Amino acid sequence: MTESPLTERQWVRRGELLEAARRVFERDGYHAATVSSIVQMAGLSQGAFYLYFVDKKAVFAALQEEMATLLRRRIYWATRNQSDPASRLTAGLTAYFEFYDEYRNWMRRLTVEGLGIDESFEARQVQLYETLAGGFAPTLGELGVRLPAVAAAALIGMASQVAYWKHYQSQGSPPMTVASLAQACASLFLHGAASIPSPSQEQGEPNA
Amino acid sequence: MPEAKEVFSEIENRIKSKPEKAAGLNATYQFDLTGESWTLKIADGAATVSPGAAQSPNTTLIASTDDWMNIATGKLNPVQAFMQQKLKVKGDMGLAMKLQGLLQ
Repeated sequence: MTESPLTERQWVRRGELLEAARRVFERDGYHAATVSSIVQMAGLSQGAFYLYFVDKKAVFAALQEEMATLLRRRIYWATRNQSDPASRLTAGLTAYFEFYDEYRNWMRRLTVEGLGIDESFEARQVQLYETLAGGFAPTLGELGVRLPAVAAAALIGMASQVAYWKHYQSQGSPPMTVASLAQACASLFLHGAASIPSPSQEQGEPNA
Repeated sequence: MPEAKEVFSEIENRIKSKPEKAAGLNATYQFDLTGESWTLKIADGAATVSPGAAQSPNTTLIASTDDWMNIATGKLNPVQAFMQQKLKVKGDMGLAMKLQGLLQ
């Protein structure tokens, strides 16, 4: 496996393998995915895979890290210039739901399989949730929420479940844009379920 | 979306707050974006950012301002951008790859 700094070709090869692995994990799930199917998807040889990753578990871990970095960066940049805490909360949730929209199949695999794979996957996922919750907690504190750390952990859990519901469970429910979903979540969290706009108020909005 | 200046300031501030991220890195990066250039100099764990082109950059990254901002803010994977030719690199590719770690 490559330990020294990557050359340009190696950097691209590793990127191709990661992209192919993500597609295979999304399609087949972690347990059914194989190194063979990943290299086939990438159009590379089996030997090329082992230059960069020890096994399937290692490439999944690398993907988990890479996707977590993208998500953290998106939320950070979406919120950093929002001086009003309520707008910052909605902007952060919007960034989360946009990311989920774009990578819904990956996020579903993490939700359905990630925590059950082994402790290292769970540890990385817990670390991501803690980082996200740590990012939201000061905003919740500014909004007057008591115990912002607890509230932020609950917010991340709620956002994750709501995003899953939107993509995989909401058949028959009125479609919601990412922005309206973020507004609904922020409103629910800060003001209670009775504050969420009724579905009729959502009519006419295109689904994101 | 933030402006390019904010992204470069952020990189500068991150290296200031965590100099270990750039430990042992001595390099001058030039960024050629749409109608603007920026220079990032890193020496002994310290970074300085300035508008305009560098005199003798080790690495020049070329992208549209939109694509660069998407890379910096997590909306575009840098390797994917490179493979799709949205990001081009002239000079030391190894230094360009190290920049990925500084954006995290």
